[in-house]
Amino acid sequence: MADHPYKSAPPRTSWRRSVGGVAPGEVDPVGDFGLTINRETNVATAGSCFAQHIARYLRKSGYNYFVAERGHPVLPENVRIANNYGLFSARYGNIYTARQLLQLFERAHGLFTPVEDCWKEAEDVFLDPFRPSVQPGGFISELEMRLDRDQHLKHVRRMFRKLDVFIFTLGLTECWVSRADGAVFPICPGVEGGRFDENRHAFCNETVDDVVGEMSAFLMQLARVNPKAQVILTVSPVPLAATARRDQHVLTATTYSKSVLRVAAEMLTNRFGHVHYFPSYEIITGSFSRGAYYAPDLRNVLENGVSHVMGLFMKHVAGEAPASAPKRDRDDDESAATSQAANDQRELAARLVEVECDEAGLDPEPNAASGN
Amino acid sequence: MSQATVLGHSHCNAFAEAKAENPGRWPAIAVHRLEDKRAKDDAVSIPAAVALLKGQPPGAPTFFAIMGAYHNLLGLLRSGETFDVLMGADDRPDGGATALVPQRALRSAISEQFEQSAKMRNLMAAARGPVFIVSTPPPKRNNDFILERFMRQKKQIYRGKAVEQFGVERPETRLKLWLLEAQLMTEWAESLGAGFLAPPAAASDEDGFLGENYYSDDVTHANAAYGALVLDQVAAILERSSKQVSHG
Repeated sequence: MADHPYKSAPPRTSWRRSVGGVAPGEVDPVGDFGLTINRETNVATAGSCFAQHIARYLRKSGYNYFVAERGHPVLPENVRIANNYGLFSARYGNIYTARQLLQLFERAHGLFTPVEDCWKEAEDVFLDPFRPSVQPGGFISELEMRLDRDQHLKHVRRMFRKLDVFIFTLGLTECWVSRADGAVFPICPGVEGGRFDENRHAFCNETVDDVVGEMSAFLMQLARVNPKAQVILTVSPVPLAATARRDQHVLTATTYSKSVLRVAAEMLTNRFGHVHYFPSYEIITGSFSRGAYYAPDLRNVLENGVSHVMGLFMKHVAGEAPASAPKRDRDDDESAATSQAANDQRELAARLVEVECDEAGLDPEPNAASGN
Repeated sequence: MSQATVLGHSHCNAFAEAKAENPGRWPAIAVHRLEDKRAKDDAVSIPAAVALLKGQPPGAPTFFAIMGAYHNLLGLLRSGETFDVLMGADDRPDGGATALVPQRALRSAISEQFEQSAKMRNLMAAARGPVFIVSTPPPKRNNDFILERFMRQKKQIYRGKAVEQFGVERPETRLKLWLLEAQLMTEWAESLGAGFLAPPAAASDEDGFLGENYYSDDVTHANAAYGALVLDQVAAILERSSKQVSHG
């Protein structure tokens, strides 16, 4: 029988040998990856909901998860977490679209100033339209919101400048933009703040060209401020919660959205040598798992799915078995030192004040003296 | 006349000292220190305090000098970059600060203590009349005074770092943290159906810091003169309360 290209191909190219005939937990769709990270690599993350899992896992696995905007150490760690510091590498909340990422970069570097840039919810409740959920309860004044945003964008600039690897999870193609200047909101105005106005807000469903164009613009600008930056793209396996297209079923809208993002990721990987695609989408959505990686709502991803993704990430990107990863938090050195100093400060303050007061003793504050 | 009870921790010392210095001036006000690590023999335990309150005549007001010191844990020593917090819509950023902490983030930190106030709720439930939460004294402005008093303490080293290495927080930040905690104490008291006894106005300077005449010889407490002003406030409330009872 004549030889042909499939005959000598590696097992991973064969469905039977790498999917159909393999235990679900053993399926490994990662091809040649071309990038490794180590424990010194500054890894920053952004993206949709699924990116939060990647950030959490990296942090728990002892990798150098780079958090540029950690929150002031006067806030105990649990309070910083509750206020969305450390959820991603800066307090930008979920970034669902390529356009949102590009505009974040542009806003941080003074290249774009949106017209609609503050939502007043009440006399003392103001939201940042580009991250409406990051501050629980909102900001107390427009000035506070603007000052916090300036501070946030400063951290974003530092993050882009200092990171070694940027992991971005593409989440959606559907988005809502300002008719005035194209500023894209993470979520439709009126849902988590702001007021929807069809005269001011327009629906946009991005195409492959849109996503590739916006991501290319972002990658070029990132390279200018950080020539060494490597980028890992993933596509979120989380389906749309709802589509804004009345002519579509949410399932077909989801397929469109994820298909566009997956194609765009492939095109970007082919176009840029420093861009790499990691197939978390395939690991979660692949038929081999028979839907077992989804929660009963068939939308949210279960821990066993995240574990499969991150196990392969550790194997291929970090070059180690996930089991060997230490189960401890590890921050970048500077931030860890700051955090430790803050804990030390509170511990010492607690001791000093304790000599005088016992108010804290009646109802002890958990972080004041725990040293954690 | 009803008997008013003032019950609490270390800030009660100022009230007790005021009573000792002014015998007979506030005969209807009793001051009790709650038991803690440094006050055992001359203090009452929580069960004893509950029994004491249950034995009060109906309508007798109770004043709790408990909690409200969390701002000291957060803001007596510096914890990093110089920060500011805006207090309201008209507040402008402090040019001396390089970081801003959103007010609601800071409020959520201070509010944590109220979620763990089971003992306080038990005490309040035992009261026979109106209940008031007594404010802690305003902070002291004088950083040299604070540092010097800290340096007298034996426990001033922690993990090899001394107080002066952390540094004392800026007075304006200390004041803002205290004001935020006082606001939250007021809201918390209201949520419990209690009143909030603000510090006597005469004890504060023009910026809201504790006047130096009212400093005790430590970092956080006020002296007997301050205690006397608070007891006068308590006496005025007691008088109003007595009139309401007699007219009722």
